[in-house]
Amino acid sequence: MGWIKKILLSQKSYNQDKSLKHEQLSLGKEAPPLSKDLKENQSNIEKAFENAKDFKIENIHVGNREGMICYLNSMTDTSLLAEKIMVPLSNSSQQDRSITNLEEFESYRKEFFSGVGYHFHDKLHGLIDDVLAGYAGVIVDGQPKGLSLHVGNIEYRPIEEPSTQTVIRGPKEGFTESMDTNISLIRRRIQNTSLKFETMTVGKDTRTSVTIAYIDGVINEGILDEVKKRIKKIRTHAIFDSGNVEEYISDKNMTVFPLIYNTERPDSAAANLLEGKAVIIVNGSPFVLIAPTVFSDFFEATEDYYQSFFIGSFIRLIRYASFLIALTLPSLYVALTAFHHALIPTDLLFSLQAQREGVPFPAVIELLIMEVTFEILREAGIRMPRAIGQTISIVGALVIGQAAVEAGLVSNALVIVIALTALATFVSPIASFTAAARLLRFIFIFMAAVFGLYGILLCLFFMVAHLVSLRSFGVPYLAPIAPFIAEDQEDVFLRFPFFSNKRRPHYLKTESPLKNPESESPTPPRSKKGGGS
Amino acid sequence: MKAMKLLLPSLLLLGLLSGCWDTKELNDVAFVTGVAVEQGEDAKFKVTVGVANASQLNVQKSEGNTPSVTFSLEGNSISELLDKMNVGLTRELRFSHTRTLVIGEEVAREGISGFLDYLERSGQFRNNFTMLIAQNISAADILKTTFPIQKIPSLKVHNQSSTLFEQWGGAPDMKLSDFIAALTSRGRQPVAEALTIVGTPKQGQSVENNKKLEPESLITLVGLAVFKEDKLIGYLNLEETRNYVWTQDLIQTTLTVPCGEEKYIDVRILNSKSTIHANYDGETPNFQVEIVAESFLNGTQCKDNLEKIETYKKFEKDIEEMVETMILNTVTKVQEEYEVDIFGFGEVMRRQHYQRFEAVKDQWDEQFSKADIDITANIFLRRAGTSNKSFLTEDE
Amino acid sequence: MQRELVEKISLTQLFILVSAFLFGSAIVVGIGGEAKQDSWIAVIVACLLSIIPVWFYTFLLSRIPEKNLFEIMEIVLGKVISKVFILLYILYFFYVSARVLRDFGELIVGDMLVNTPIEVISITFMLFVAYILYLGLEVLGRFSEIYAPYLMGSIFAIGILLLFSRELHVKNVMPILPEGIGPVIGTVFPELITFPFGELVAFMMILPYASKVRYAGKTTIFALIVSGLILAYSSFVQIATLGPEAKLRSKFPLLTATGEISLWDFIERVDLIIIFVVMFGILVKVSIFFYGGLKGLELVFNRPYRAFIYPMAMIIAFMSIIISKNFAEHISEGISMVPWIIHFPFQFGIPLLLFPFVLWKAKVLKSEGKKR
Repeated sequence: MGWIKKILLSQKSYNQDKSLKHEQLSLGKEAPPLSKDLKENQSNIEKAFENAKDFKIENIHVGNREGMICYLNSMTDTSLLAEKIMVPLSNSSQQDRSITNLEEFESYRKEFFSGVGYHFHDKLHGLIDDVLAGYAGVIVDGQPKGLSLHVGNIEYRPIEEPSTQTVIRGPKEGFTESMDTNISLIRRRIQNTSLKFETMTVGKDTRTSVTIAYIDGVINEGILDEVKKRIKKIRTHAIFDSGNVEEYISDKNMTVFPLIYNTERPDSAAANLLEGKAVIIVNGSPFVLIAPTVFSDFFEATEDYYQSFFIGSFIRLIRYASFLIALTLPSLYVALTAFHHALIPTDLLFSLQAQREGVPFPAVIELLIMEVTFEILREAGIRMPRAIGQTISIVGALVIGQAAVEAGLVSNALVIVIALTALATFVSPIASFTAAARLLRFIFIFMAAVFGLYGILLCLFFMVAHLVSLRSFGVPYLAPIAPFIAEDQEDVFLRFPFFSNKRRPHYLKTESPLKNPESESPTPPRSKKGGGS
Repeated sequence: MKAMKLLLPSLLLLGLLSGCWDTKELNDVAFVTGVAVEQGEDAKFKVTVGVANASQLNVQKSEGNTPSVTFSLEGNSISELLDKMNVGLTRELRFSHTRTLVIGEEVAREGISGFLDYLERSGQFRNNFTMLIAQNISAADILKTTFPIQKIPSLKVHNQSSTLFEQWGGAPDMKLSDFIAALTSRGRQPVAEALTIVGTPKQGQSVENNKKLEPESLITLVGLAVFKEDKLIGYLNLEETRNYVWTQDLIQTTLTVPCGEEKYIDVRILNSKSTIHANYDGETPNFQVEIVAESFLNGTQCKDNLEKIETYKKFEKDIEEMVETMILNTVTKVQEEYEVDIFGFGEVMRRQHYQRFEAVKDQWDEQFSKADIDITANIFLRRAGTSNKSFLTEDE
Repeated sequence: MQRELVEKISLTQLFILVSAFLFGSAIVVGIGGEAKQDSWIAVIVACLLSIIPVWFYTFLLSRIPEKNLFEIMEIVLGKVISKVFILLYILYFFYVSARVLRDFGELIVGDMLVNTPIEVISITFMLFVAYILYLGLEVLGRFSEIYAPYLMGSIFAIGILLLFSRELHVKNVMPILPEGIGPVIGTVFPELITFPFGELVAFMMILPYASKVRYAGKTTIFALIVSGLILAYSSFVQIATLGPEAKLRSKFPLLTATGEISLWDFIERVDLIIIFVVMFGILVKVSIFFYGGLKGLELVFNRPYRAFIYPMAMIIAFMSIIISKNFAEHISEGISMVPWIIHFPFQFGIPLLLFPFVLWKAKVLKSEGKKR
């Protein structure tokens, strides 16, 4: 029973000692410099990787000296290791190379390991960090420096079609969990030296790399500095997904509206880069973040730009309408059926009244029951194993809706309201944005139940006041609408044709405001050739 | 401090929970579609309400029961009676969808402004309901006479009168607000629609009535009730009503115009517009009513060749003559028989000769009855249906 | 405590705020009814005449730049005397915002939520006003940019829908000026000139925060003319729909007029939706008066105005209830007492009194500036 006591005691001390500081995990805890003695280095490394099953260490000859190589076989590509490192090492021509000083070590690398990413380290923990990231560490007896060679090639999910922001027309590639792949997906779209990637490491324990991509000469310097500053300021032990980063760098957390856009689509990321925004790629997350973000971004899908601007604009208006529907339709139902009967046209009123005959609940309760049921179904649909998930969610909704109506628990009209609301909720291209409507809806319903239409209006007022007070990296959240910027209306509610959309958004205060000044509308020539009058 | 900040609003929100002051679920209220007011036996008024039975209007839920229920009470104030209806009815009554107000003849003769004020003030009523005078019958019977297509009697009457107004002009476009406007105006006297029941009212008061091809009793519109101030003084028949409407805002109508011995042409009148010019000729006011309208020929019993301009001209002249005499007869009848300006000539005078009108505004109806009225019609016959020459036309 | 930031509102926002402020309660309660069918003319006349006081306000402000009315008073009259005037103005601003709030409460309780206590309406509405002012003037500016299109759109839509419902009778507006200009002038003074136009005095607290102060005055006057015309249009629509008598009889003529709208048996009783339009106007009006008062408190007690917001909001909500016992008292106060005793001194009296002092002080400041 001793072990229980041990755990309990440790727990207790944790609770009692408020001054307890969080200690970083083993890594770099003691960071001795690399010594000249191979044995000492080796034992230090072995100690660091104690109990790590995937850690491999081998004694080798480097030139005419004793040496060692270490790597994590979980993080490295063994065939690459063999081909790039082991083969040159066992090459007989190198056996008599003498490595007595640093220059010789360097020229040795040049000769045998060219084309392989490398770092030299004086500190042991630097070398260990690289080994953890998929490098092979090489130490030579007598040298106080360690060489790390990149042989990492971790298996990642291949590039697939994005699962969230699907399109009918447009590129079907999506970001993956690998940062290198993601960077290459962006680079492939913008083959320009102005496209910069800056990498930082975030998370004391996970040491996740976070890359900021931007277009130099387009992005506003102030915004870029702010993005960097905020990422540097993240104090956390673990980052697993861009969602973690998002929460740390948002301007405000006490809001249901996402202040940072996320996307799984490289074309969307590239387009946003060119508008003058920064893209934040977090290793291990297929969702990249885009900052700064404004409200209208959540109503724009990349597909708007790949099809005729008429249909693009139309669909965009539909999205705005469905946001309003998702937000207010249930509360309007409550307000109309429980307060303002006068507003309902007579025939519809009698139809609604007939449906409600015998329904035992007040309209609000009826609505809340169905809303919560729907949310449960939705959640179940996502969490369930994929094979049954989809069927359950659709069939469940239908069956429960139908059964509830037949049992006289809810009215037909209400099921229509719930269904329409649910559909409208999912129209926004970005999933995180729908959360806003889903949550606020309940507040609207509550206020409508107390005050009718006045309550809904009051809620809308509060919501807009809140929205208007938000900022994303200093840019007002409702930017081209409030504050109103006439020049930026080209791409808000309607998608204007490209030839008329020559500027980058004003509110981003880009370094070069014009993006395609020469574009023209394809019209027949106005005058005959050479024809002046 | 921070906790306080959060606590305070939440406490306020708790206060709201005690609220929901105005909630009324749909199945806790009953919608009144029609109200009938007539003379009570023991008290000033007898008020009848027609309440919709919504579930019988729903195709799925209908069991063939009555779609509308009526209940009557007697008392001295409409407002109190309406709130007291639960003596016999279960649910709270709502008047927002009331479409008809039927007033009994006796009450109308004694004056109705007393309860009109309540209807305007309460805010519960939409003011676009039809005002009806029940001629020769009990007003309550109107709310009880079933009809198979529009199941609720009061809605049926409402539809009937607005369709008649739009199609033929046989009903005035008089809503509560218009009635009150006419009542308060010095230069116009109000009118209302009159209706009656054909057949035996008792027979019509059952769903069984709906099962007959020819209903035992049917509500029919009979014309116009003429008021002096708020008191009913007489009626105009349907033809005269149409002529009255023609001076106001006729939308369209059909005329039967003689074109020969016992022969007629049918003319559909469209886009009619009437303009009135007022003047004072010494002490007698005079009015020129100008009617401009388009028309097309619906049918003819005459042999005239419709491919000739002369025919059109002749027909146009016939129509114009008929319209002029028709309207003039009606105006003269009102002038002589009722001596009230239901046409709003006084208002025209007020607009065009403000000072003269102000001088006589208190005796306007006398002025009206001695006024010279001149009607000029200007009817354009545009086309004659889908065929050119009628088969009746003999080749020359 | 939150530190106060220097807030700026753009000219567009200023324009919208001025317009919404003028629509505010004026569009609901119906103005210039005494001029019968000519009330729309009265509105235009009053609007044009009030360019003079508004120009005067901006002139006064421009003498001592980047200072609001209260700060100018403090500079010109000294700390002690100015405090008396500022406190009076604070009372005035709070009183007017309470009055406007009461208008709104009466509207909601009279038409929409008959059984709901008016106190609840006042409190919830003031909570919102407090919230938006807590977020700052800038947020109020941007907020109004969102709602302005709906406000304008609805006002025009009312006219068009009424036209389609065949309820707009131009003949109701005739005859024009049958008794000469007399009745019109009678309505302009004192009613219209003080309400709503003279109330623009509250903008003496806002104008210095416009981003381009130089154009702020012109923008205000432009907004004044535009909203004067729109008010006249709305008044015209009301008369044409209801006739002058019914308009005068109605508590909220715009609502009664929109009640006449009836299209395809489907669009009916839109008057409830109009409440939304009204609500926005009321919001701007209450907020601006309230903000003026709060700024005064800030100056007098030397603490950021945000500290006063919630308590003062509740006091105003309370005030709006106890101001008058019933609707009749509320309206008769508004017509007989308020213009003469309250509006005139604060809108014209005190600014005129300040005028010579400001001119003198501005000269002194200018010569001081030159010396340096």
